[in-house]
Amino acid sequence: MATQTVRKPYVRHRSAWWWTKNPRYLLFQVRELTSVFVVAYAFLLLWQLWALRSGPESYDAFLQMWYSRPMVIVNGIILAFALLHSVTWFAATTKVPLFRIHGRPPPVALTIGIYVAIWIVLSLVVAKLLYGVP
Amino acid sequence: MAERVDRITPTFWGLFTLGGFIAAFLLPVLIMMNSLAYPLRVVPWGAVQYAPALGWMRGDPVVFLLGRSAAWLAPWLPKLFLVLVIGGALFHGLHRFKYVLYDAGLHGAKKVLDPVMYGIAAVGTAAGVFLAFSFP
Repeated sequence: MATQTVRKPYVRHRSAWWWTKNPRYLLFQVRELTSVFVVAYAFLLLWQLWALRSGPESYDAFLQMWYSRPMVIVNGIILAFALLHSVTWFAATTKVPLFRIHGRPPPVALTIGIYVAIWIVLSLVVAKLLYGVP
Repeated sequence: MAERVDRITPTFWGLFTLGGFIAAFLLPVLIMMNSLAYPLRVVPWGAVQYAPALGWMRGDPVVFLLGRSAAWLAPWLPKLFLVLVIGGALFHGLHRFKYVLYDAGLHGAKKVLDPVMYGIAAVGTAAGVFLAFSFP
């Protein structure tokens, strides 16, 4: 058990706007904020499932809202952030090499290329298998 | 005295990573098909209404593509897909959002934020499982 110290811990002061000071910090903050849109879409899916489960009238009302102009714009913004999440996620995961070539981490371009290839194949499989498109 | 190993923090980081991959691989195509395919005229109005949406939950396109032999598998695929995306997105996104809130100055509220964030993720995922699998 650690003993309680009476020392007052030093907390460095930081402005709430620290991330506007440097473009790298801004990209970091935008990347972290993709989480808000990812979470938002999960809740929209739950709402849609609820509406579908409640019967035809409730789903018709949902579709009226879902395909209204403001909601289509919101969904477009969510898609943009989801794409940003995918790209930055693949770039970030190259920092943790999952395999090695001759004892060295694989080149970053190769790792990102593998992820993008998996991404495209999975997207085509989902579109074809679950939606019959194209 | 036995050393106490924290197994909770790594578990949530693991779920964050798993969810991050699920969201990265599957979310864009889902948003594209579920939200924007009709506005972009990729599919007609008739394909997004109540009856075809119920058919989607039953896995009708799977049967259409793979034939009657896939009929036992068909209802499972869309439901597992939805649960995977909803759960992955929530455990990934809320974990990350917790750190956004820390950076915004709430790092003193860890005791409150941990149960709230992971609680919402767990309840949302449970709701996803219940809703998806309550379809016939």
